[in-house]
Amino acid sequence: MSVPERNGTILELSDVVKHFGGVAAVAGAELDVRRGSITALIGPNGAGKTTLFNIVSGFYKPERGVISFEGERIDRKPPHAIAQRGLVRTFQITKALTKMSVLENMMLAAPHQPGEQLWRLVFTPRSARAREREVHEKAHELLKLVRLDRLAGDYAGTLSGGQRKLLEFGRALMRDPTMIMLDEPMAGVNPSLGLELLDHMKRLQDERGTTFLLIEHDMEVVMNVSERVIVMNEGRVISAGPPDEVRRDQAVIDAYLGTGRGAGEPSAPAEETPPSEGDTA
Amino acid sequence: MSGLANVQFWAFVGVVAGIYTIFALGLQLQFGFTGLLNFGHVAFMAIGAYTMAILVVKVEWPLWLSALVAIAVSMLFGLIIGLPTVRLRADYLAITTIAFGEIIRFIAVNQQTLTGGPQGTINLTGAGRASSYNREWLDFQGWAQDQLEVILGDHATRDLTMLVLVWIVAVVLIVLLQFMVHSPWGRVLRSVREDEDATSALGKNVFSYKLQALAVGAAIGAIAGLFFAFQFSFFSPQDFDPLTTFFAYVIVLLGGTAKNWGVPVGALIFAFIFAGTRFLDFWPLSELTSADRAFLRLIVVGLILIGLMAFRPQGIFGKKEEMVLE
Amino acid sequence: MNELLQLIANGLVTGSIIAIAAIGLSLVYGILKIVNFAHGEYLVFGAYMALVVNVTWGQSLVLGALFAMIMTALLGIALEFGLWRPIRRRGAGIVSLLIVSIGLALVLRNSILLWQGGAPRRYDVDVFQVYELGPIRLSLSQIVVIVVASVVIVGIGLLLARTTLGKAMRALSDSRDLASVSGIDTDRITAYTWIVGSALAGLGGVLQGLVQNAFEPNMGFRLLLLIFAAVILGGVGSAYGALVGGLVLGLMMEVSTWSALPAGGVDSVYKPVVAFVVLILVLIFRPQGIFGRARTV
Repeated sequence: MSVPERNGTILELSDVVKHFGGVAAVAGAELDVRRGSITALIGPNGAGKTTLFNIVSGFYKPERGVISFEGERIDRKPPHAIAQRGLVRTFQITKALTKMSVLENMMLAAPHQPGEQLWRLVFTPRSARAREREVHEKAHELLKLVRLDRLAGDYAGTLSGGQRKLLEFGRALMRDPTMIMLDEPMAGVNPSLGLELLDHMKRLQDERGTTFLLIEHDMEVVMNVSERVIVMNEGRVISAGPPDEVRRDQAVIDAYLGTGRGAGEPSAPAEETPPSEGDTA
Repeated sequence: MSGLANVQFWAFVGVVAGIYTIFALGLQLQFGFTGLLNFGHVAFMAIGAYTMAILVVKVEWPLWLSALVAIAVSMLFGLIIGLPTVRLRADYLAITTIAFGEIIRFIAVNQQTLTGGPQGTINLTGAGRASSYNREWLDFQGWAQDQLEVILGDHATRDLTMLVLVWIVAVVLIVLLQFMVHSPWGRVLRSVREDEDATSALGKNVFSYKLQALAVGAAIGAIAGLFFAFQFSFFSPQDFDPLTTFFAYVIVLLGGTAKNWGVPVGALIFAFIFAGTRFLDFWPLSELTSADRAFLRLIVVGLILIGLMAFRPQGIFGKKEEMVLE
Repeated sequence: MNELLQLIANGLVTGSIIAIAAIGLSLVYGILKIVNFAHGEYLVFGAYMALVVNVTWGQSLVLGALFAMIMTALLGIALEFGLWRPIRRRGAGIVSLLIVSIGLALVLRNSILLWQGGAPRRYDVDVFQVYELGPIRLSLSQIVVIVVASVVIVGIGLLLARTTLGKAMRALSDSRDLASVSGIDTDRITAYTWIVGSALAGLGGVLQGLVQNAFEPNMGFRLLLLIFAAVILGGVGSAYGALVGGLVLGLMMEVSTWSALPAGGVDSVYKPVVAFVVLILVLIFRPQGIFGRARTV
């Protein structure tokens, strides 16, 4: 299978399949994400969105299909190798390292730290220390951005659910990624702070050309921030395009109807939705 | 001179505590910081001691070279056993590593021509010809004793010299480990211990870090084995019973997981339970034979383990907020 | 060929003791997530209980074995209520429970040592007469073990397959949450699991004490890894698996010494190592056991 280097595509999935106990969680998903875009991945409960994230980030091995990132196949790569290539993800159920401080959580994420290699740590401790200072500074900057700077010294275990979402977002940014996949980044986050984060995403997109792919249930957010929306249902991509187009797509309306939720304007189809989810409206 | 006032006796207790400190430091790195439930740690001690003794006696290498090679061989075994197993979940890793330790012990018992068999290294060159591997060590110890005499005069005995030497190494290792676990490298280990998925999502190769922790811990275990061999002029396979690994767990858990300075404290408490209690000879303890007291001590050790897990899993110095025990 | 038959017979003897002892360990591992390193001591406890009846009180060993089963069952249930349940309620996870079990093993083993000493003991029975069954030579004690084991294995098989209790145990071992949702009284079934598993461990201890002629309190720990190997081979949590795993393991250990094998077979002192290697290989390549289904969770 050839790897197409289509101009403007950073991530491309074709015919990706993954079963769990005989049930197809992802059944031949095809999609592409344009370089430098903010793309939303939506779909009713159980559509396979999070599973797809897990496959792309290397946590699940797909049974079939090709995934390429920046023109290189990543579908057989382990998670850390994918993250090292610049494709970083966050988790729907946050994975803050609760026994470490907020600052350590941030600093851990930094790439290119020679002090993480034993021999370099022992033989060139100076370069490790120098990098550590840079990382420290950057961690503080980003913590300010996500409004966690005052909590830098606290154990991450003391953070609230929303704060953990912010920590994960900040931690992902520590890696200077070319693309970030965010799994419900706004869930539980204070609405005004959520808006600031969206602004920051747009700024990163403008200044650095960072690509974002986000699973989000808040349609307001989806329609406002994303220039492209991909809709999944039953493990397949059923629609993709600009928000206005997608919301009029009959297949999309049917998919949401099928779950017994409101049609037309697909309003917040839930996937383990926390109660505070509608707050941003 | 007898009883609690006997300096020689306490020097011996201190040496044992020092050797156990070094041994448990290896486990602290593997289990305390990285979360690897290694139940075959004693095998690394055995490999260190046996490799050194065999190289000195049979290959007639110098002691220092043999010791270095022994540490390297132990690390190599750490990698070999780790490659297929560190991905396993905690309980499976525990069972595979204890089985690995037992395999090593069985080999030490049964490969008589290699190891001297059940009677131990005294038979390394065949039965009837007592063999010794620590002549060079004794020379060194004698030299160190001379230096010590300058400071301590007549107090500088052989045992005291050994005490000083063991604890110098123990403290150096603690300081080194303290530096390592608070470095970026150690930060990754602690993160692996808590959440492997989060760690790999941040671009760290979890598998590689687990292997490194296992191998470095194996090297430290081997150093403990070397001192064990130096202290006792010969040793046998039964010194490397799985019980020895459990003792290291008691020490680590007493001091506190992920607390390097807890290890020597745990080891001293442990050594006191083992050696110091022989002076507690009031009734009803005075009724017991020495064998019975040995059993009683192990009952106490078992109760300490249970009590720690039930009431204070973070140990003496650990912080509850940093506890990671599934 | 005769040698092979003899080895198979020996393997069945070893294997059936391991199988009987493995059921309890496997069920408790599966249901309560307790990797019970003290399980070997349950065997030793049983062996010494029978010794008290048989030697101290001068009664028959049959009576001794029944007494051993009852006492070990009581020990099992007492420890469930006095130790495991309180610690579970404190939210202890699998690693904490495992470490607790090591502490318990030390306490039990050394209590027995304190009580009975470390010298080898033997039952007051005359079962060392050797019978020739065709080409196979078996001592009476070995024959007793095979007969008792067959009865127990069939009995346990029936218990698990036919009775409500057995079905509930298996359901619980499959999924504690699911079983509790489906109206099974998990606490009660857990208690019964300890009773059955401990009684079998006690019996296993008596049988092992019988076939190896003389035993001492370290017998349990020496058997423990073999029992673990059987549990893992059969799939953790599966009682049937533990039975088959024990028998297969016993056969493998004995047959591995067959002189017709390449290099004359394994030296018989390395029989346990065969089991350890099997244990490691199964955990690495097929952690769900050779009979178990792969689970996604």
